[in-house]
Amino acid sequence: MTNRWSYNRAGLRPVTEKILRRFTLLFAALVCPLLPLPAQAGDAPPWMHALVNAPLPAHDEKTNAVLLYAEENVNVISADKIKTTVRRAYKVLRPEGHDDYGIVFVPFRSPGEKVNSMRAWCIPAQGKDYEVKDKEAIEASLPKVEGSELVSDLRIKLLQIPAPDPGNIVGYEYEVEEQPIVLQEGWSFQQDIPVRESHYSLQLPSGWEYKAAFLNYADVKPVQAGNNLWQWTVSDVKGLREEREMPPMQGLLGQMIVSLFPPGGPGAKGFSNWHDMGSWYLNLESGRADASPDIKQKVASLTASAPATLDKMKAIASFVQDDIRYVAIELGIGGWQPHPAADIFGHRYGDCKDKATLTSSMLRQIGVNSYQVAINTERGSILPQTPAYLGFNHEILAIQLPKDVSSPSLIATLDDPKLGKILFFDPTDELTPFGQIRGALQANYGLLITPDGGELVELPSQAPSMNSIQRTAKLTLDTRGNLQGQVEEVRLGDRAAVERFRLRTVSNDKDRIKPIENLLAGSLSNFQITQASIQNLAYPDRPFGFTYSFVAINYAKTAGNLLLVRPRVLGAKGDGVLETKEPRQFPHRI
Amino acid sequence: MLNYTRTFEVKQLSVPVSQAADLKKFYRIIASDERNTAVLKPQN
Repeated sequence: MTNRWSYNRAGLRPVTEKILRRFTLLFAALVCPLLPLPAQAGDAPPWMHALVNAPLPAHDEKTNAVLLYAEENVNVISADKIKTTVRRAYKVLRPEGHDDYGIVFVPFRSPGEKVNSMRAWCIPAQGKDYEVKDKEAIEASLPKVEGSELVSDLRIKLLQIPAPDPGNIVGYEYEVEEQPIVLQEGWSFQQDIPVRESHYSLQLPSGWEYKAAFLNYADVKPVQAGNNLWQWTVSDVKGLREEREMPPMQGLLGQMIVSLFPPGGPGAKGFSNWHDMGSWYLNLESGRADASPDIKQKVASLTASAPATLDKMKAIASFVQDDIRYVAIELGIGGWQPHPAADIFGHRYGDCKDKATLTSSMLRQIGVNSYQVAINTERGSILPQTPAYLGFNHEILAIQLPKDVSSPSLIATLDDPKLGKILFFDPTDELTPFGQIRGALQANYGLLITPDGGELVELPSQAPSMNSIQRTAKLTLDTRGNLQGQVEEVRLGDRAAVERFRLRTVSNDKDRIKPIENLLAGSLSNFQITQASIQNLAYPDRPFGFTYSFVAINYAKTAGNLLLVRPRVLGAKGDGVLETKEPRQFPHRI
Repeated sequence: MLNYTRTFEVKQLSVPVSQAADLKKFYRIIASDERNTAVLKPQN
């Protein structure tokens, strides 16, 4: 369900960069063997050679590489043109670093942006330097993955660096020209590997101002290095290595967000706080939720037989979830600006912000107001102390509940001081009953966008019992140790949604019982399912159920006339996630 | 007849680092229980 909320060229968020890197590595593994071998000639530049004997930042034996030097120079030419030059040099320490640091890739939007130059080098531990130039680079669109954009103007330019082997230094430099949609840049100086030194400079035209805010790192004061030129430097930055079940990297990695202000203010292109970001977004969505005659007619037909306002709301919600296919077409500002409701309705497809816009348009026809909420589905990415920036990747709706609408089924509500009771609703999530929100959105922070501007709000949590598995079994053991069982499982919340999602395209019975087979296989070595059925697969507003019978031969072990039996027959909750040699660094997400 | 009942309820979304050792111990207790066996003897 990605939209372009989290994309910003120069300040590509570290988590997005990591995902991009994985796709790029996969892409490169498929394409690069088909390319001619890069030329091997030319000396690496002096700035790289200066690093040959540089002391390495502190690291341990599991560190694949260290970033010796990073430099990012942002030159703001106008509100429509920014040039950025980047230099980076890594020392590869382990064979596992070969793939990650042997390819340089630069994302850019096309048309509108371009990579003006790109070169890379390897200084091997022994022997002559290698060089690869622009002409050896390839440009490509990103591969399609489920939940991502079908059509996007995001491209990558990538260059393979020779010999990224342990002991060698690999580095690159490039220049990219950007046509900013939002006047905000980012400096992602912290990574999953240690960083020896990182520099960032900002050159502004006369009369421009900036506001810098640090995330997850102590403020660093810049040095004014010239007329409208500022420089920041950090050194010996610790790498944040991934741990299982850790909070999202976006909420942990040190970064600097720079908001840019031309004379007279950013206008339609920027913001300096959440309130202003809300206004910026309102400007983008202005007029987009206007209802066409076809939309009005559809609302009338959907709600004609609905007795009460809540029933009308549910009918509209169901239509947008089930009848509008999720397809993201995001070009330019389309990464943030929804399509017009009339187009979404006419084409019967849209991404998350499109579906929210259409829902809002339709609800308005029955006198119900609603407001967009930008959110990041990785809870912990946006926190109350996070400065305003494009760190969201999803959009849902906050429906202002009319006074006559009240029901115990409406759980995901919040009392807003200005709007009254609001109900959060995700038009892209057809697996969660109306009135609830899935786990990833609960206790998460979203930007509520109203005519007064934006406000960061915490979405409500639901009771644990609403996200549960209840398993009841009647089991019979015979004297030979054979076990027969009848099991009933009732699943609610995300536990139900995940099974419905898994089974959504399955049509034959043999495949439908695979989840049950997998569950039993996790606990029994020798079993046969004798009967199985699923309840309420197609009804998200009802509990999901598995009912099954099985036989497990030799479940209990015989010892003379005794039987040794494991009372815990099914399901495993013990988790070895914390059984590591290294002490835990980050909170453990449950 | 053997009755076996257990309930696992998550009450907080995140466990801080300071409580990681307690969580590790808790998971070990669960794993140990899941491996436990009972000995059944026929009634004569």
